Amino acid sequence: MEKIVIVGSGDHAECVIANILEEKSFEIVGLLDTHKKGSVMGFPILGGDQLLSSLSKTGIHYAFPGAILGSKADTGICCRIMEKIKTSGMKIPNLISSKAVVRLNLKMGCGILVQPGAVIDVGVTLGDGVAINPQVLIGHHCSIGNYVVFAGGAVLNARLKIGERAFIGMGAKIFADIGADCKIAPGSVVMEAVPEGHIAFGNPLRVMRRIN
Amino acid sequence: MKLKSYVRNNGIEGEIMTMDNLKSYLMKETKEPALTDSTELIESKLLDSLQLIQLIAFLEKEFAVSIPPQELDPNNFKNVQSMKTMIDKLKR
Repeated sequence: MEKIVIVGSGDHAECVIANILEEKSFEIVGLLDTHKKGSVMGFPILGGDQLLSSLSKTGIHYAFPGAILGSKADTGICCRIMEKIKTSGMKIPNLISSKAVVRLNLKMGCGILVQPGAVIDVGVTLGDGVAINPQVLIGHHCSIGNYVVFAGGAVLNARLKIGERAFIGMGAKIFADIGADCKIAPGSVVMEAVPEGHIAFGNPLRVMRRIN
Repeated sequence: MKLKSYVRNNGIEGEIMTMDNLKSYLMKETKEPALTDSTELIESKLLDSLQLIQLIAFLEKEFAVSIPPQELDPNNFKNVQSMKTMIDKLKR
């Protein structure tokens, strides 16, 4: 079994560990986190992510981002982690739960996590680092940009485009395209397209420009 | 005593209380005990996007106003003073 290291040690890292253990897909060596010590679910935190390149020379060929949101809901963190992994020469696999339903003609980048109960319909395209949490439904022929995060229970209609680094909150229902860097609040119902860099919330939907 | 009854009769008492409630709410959310009327909340990243949406819901409930789409501008929520100005405008 190939060895893997997880970069990040927060709640999302635990989801990644659970997925790997349930699927018996890799042997977890440990986690990397510059700011923490100790262990997560029995796996040691080995040190900061500067260890990636030295670990890659010790027969560990795979790493996976164990963080999707940084402090203050920073959705760019996964992108930065994946760049560091790629620079180290390690490969980034996709972790797809066997308890998810994934239909034909799925096109995938790398670093994708699909959690149990998610349903991905026919002909969907998923970019790099996309995180799909439990019970998410993605309609057929949707195109999902890099580093998009779907919180649990989000539902997407068919043939939609979701821009890079967008965050779709828990239980949101999406019936229109979402621009890059948007944040859709939990429970929102999106009936009209949301332009790039906006926060959208409520039903009926209200939209607000983001500063940061 | 006269000032107290003036404040109460003109509804200012409730307004002062709700502004205090707003500050307490923000201090709790941002974990910033030294928060003032001019403390930058968004650019300094004291509030994230979800907290901003929760703040809008708090303002609507606490001040009994409905914030229309045209007022959903981050500049109206950048600090306590700008929120007070927006609420005063909506109450008029």
